[in-house]
Amino acid sequence: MTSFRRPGDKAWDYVRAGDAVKPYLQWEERGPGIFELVVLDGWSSKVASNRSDGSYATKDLFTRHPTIPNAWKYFARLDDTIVLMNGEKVVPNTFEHLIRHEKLVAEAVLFGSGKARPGLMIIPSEAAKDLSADDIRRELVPALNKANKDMPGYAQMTLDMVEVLPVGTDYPRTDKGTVIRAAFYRKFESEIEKVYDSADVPSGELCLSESELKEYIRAELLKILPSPTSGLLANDTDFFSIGVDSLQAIQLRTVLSKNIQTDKNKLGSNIVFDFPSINALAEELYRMRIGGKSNVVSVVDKMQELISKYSVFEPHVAMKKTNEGNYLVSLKSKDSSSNC
Amino acid sequence: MDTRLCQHLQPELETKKISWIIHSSGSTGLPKPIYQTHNAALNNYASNLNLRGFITLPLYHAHGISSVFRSIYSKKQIYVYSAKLPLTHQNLLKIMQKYKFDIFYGVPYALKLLGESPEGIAALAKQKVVMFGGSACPDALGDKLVEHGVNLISHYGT
Repeated sequence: MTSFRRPGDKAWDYVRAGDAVKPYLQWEERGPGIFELVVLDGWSSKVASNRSDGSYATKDLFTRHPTIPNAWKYFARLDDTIVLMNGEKVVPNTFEHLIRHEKLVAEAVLFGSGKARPGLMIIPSEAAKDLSADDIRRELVPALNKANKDMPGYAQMTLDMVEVLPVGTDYPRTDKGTVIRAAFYRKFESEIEKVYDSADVPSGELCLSESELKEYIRAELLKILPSPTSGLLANDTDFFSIGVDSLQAIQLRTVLSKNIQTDKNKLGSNIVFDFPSINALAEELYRMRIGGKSNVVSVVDKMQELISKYSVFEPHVAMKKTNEGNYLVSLKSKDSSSNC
Repeated sequence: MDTRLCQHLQPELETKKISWIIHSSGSTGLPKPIYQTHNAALNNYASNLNLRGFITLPLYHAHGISSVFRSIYSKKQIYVYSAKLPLTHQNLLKIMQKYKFDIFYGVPYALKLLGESPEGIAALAKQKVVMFGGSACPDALGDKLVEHGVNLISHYGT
């Protein structure tokens, strides 16, 4: 299914089933207005089934377009997996369970579908009714650290991504008391958006010179990078070449965005790889505060830099011979018939 | 003259054989193999758009590899983004300004990178089709691209 559509139809995110596949698709309602897609037996490119009648239940949930018929928008996975913007997947259940275990917490729900990183929504318990949101966040630090240990690198939860709702907030749950995830995301959509917006506002107040910026970036990188990598970090080292990954790049961007004054200019979401060395990044951050034209990539400068870097050849200095005696050098050839 | 070079093979049997096996990512357990028969694969490739393409998706994803075979099926060129380059705004933009394509394939992350500058959006708007898959595209990003004339197409399934 794709969202190919008539000119003027702006519903880009609603996929439409073509005539060929349409008879093989079945939409089964799983919650109010939320449908799971099931592919029936007989569709020629279907290669798997998970039901006795030969059909395949996709576990993908969709919502219907309010007016356009046969147009569906992907909503979430039935089995709760959260897919981040870069396609990495986060299974939230264990993490939520650990946080929910805390006595200040009534409910904890991880979110982040389609975002760069996950966040956490906390509904505090009665025990937290005299505490401020910041107090609650602070109290949860040990539990968050513990829960983070079981999460992949790209899904580490940071304190700024934890949103605390008022005590007693009503939320969609089943008779058993468990959260109905899809409905929860829908209900708190604007709160979730707010978390991402405020995490992304450039709020830094540090006005640094270019050389101070270099020191700052270096110090922050050393905190983020594993020690074998950090040893390779010179001011002109290409981050990509020493294995800086997308998560580390996001972490560094977050720190910079929070602390460095950039005259309210928003940092590009991939700024770390667009300016992939301490020198380049410091220069760009400095420019953002002072103004002027972005010195994105000057290929010639980059080549010049590489030439001067690798044009230094240290002459070989022979070691002093310390061991007197006779040596026999033996050469062995793989191919005995050749003359070497 | 009959140009068939595989007289010894029976098409009915061959179409049921496995052409490739792709594994699920394992997010809900161990990675599981998904067997693709020749018949299913060819039916899949036949649904191509007959356009010259640029792909930024990895070929170990079903959508990526299917797109490449669709281009072979339709005898249209496809350009593959080098996995040795980091996926950045500048790298994408340079490629898109240098070569001419009709269709762009990528995950929403690639769209987000290009969507950060007017040049990037213009490069996307030049394509006949901009197709994304792999994960959901944030509403604000999609709305912005469509508003600037990008023919943004969501692709579900492979």
